[in-house]
This record gives sequence, C-alpha cells and structure tokens, in this order.
Amino acid sequence: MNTKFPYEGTINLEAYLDAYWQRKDAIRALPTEEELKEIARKGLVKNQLVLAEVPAGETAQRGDTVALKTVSELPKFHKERVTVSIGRGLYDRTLEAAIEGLKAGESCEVLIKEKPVTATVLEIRRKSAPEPTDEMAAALQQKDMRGNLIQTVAEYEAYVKEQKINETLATINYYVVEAIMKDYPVTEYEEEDIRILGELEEKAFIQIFQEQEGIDLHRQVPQSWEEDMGIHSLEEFITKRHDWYQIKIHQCLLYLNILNLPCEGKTDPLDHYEVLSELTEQMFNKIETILRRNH
Amino acid sequence: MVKTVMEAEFDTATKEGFWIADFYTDHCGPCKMLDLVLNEIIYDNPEINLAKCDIEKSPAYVERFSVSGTPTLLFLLDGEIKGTISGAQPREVLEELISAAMYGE
Repeated sequence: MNTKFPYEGTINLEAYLDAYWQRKDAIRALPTEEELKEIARKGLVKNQLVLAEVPAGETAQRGDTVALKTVSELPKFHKERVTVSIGRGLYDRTLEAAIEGLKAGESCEVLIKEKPVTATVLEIRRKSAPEPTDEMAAALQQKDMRGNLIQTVAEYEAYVKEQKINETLATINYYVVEAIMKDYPVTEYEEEDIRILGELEEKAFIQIFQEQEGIDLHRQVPQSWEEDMGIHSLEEFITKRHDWYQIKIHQCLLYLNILNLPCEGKTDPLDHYEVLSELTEQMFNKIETILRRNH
Repeated sequence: MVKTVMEAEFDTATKEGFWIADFYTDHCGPCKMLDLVLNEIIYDNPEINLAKCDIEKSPAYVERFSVSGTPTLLFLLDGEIKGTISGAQPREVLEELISAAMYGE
C-alpha cells in the first residue's frame, strides 16, 4: 500500500480502552458462562412457556406477569386492566418494585412524577418452561456462524456464545476505533490504493453474489441496490464506495500499528479483499485478552 | 408467542395485543444479533408477541412497510403501528421503545 500512516510510535490501545470504560454506558466485561447459558435457554424454550395463575395467597415475584387496575391523574397509570411483567421496568420501575410482594386483591400507592398512583393486583401469573431439548434446537431452523444448521442444545449454546462475545467485542472496538481515528487522521490517500481496493471488492462481490444469490453482477444488480441506493450497475456501486475505501485504508493502517504488523503481503489490504476483516478479528482477540485480564 | 408470519396473514395475526414485527433475512448478521435480544425480551415479557417476517419469502413487506434494510422492527398495539426502528439495537434501547409503544409516554 502506498498511503502512509503519518505518525511515529505505537498507538496505546489500553489508554483508549480505559477512556472508553469511563463512559457510563461502557461494556466492561464479557458475558459470563451462566449468562450465556441463560440467553440460550430463553431462546430455546420461548415457545414452550406456560403462564399459570399462582395459588391464592401467593405474592407477586420478579418475573411474574400481573394484571393491574391503576388509578391516577396520569393517563398511562389510569387503566381498568393493564398487563405488566415485573422486573425490567417496561411499565414503571417504581410501581413494579412496589407490586413485588403483593397478593391478588392487594393495593399499593407510589408517587410517579410527583403524582400519586394506586395499583391493585387483579391476577398474578407465573411462567414455567420445560428443560431445553435437542428437538427444540433443531426446530429453530437456525444456522450457525458458518452456515451449518443447528441440531442440538450444545450447538445452540455454542452459537449464542460466539454471537454474544463477538457482539460485545464489536461494540467496544467500534467506540475505541472511532476515538483513535479522530486522534490519528489520515488526510492524504493514494488514489491508486483506492482504485485497487475497488477492483478487489468488485471481484469479491461478483463471486459472492454468484455463489450465494445466483446473481451475475455484470448483467444486473440486486433490487435492493436500485431501491435503496439508486444504483444500477456494479461500476456505479464501486465508484460510490470511494469514501469507504478511504476508511478501510485508515482502519487497516491503525490496526497494523496497534497489532505491530508490517503492511506487506498478507497484511496489506491491497493483497486480498479479506485483510480488513482478518485484522479486525485480530483486534477483537487483543481486546478480549485485555478484557479477560482486567475484568 | 413467536410466530412466523407471511404478508397475507399479517393483519389477522397482529390485530390483537402487542406485537413486534421483525423484518429480517436469513443471511443478515445483525438480524441474528437482534434475534437473541428479542428472544430474551419475549421470554421475560410473555405478554409481548413476536412476528418473524422474512422479507425474502414475503417481499411485499418491503413496499408495504417501507423496509429499507434489515433488521427493521415495527411495534404494533391492537393492529395499530406505534413505532419502528432499524438496526441491531441493544436491549435497553428496544425496551424504551417497547415501553412507549405498549403503555404510552
């Protein structure tokens, strides 16, 4: 690649991660094994849930679905019958907390936006679900990250784990790389690099669309390109991607610096189309190592 | 309840209760991420129903609901559209929208 990274030294990834972790909404840890198993379980049994009314005298618990009558000046809290699942605050966190521990027929009063709200529990229903089975996993007709149809609970759990960890790392990487790109801008791109990236993408897209969609991009483009982007030919698409190729070069240069790799051969984005995704994966691995060490 | 819904049966399927219509395709990565989040929401809130709408199997959805990309979600209360959002959003963002669509502001 001819475009140069105009800075000396190595970018301090850990300093950028520390800055990201100062954000209130930052993700500070990977999901635990227990959390991942629970996500998988919910995905497998979600269609087998049974909601049954609790025996008389039992109190409402977090996770129960209750029917309420609410009285208030606030229209949202003045309803003859409203169904609420207690716990995530979809209706109102204060009210849901006050309902926990009440029996059917009992009432509570809370202040919401400085207005009194009275809620009476009409009915309490509790969910139960069977243990996940391989049949449930197969019934989802879900393909894993490599396109294989999932057949067992273990395969579905592995799929959920891979998806969620990847999603976590992608989110962290997004914010960190965005900050680094601002601090380390590249202003002079070699047009020749952009032209070569366009050619590489053109070849890759022709192959991908032929294999996966049965579309010959020389002759037609997907309907969505025409409808969403007003693009009628592959050539037009590649021309419109000029700014993206600049971002791709920028990201490759940052990743190579952080990963301490040379920009040549298999790590040069002008060598093959997948270089950016391969470098991104290595960035994810590096962030994962730091996350596991620090949190 | 989670139900696979084709365009022809959409109105009947979603006319009662609160529904999230999930417009997706099988080979869309962000759709798979969103699917896991929706599974959790549906499990934790059984009063919410999920209509899975594959826009490749039912392409009429694209024009009818102006689906410009996947994933796109539509929130419906008793058949009336209350909101929409695109992209693989985190659970907290979705819950805020669902809350407003289900119960009002």
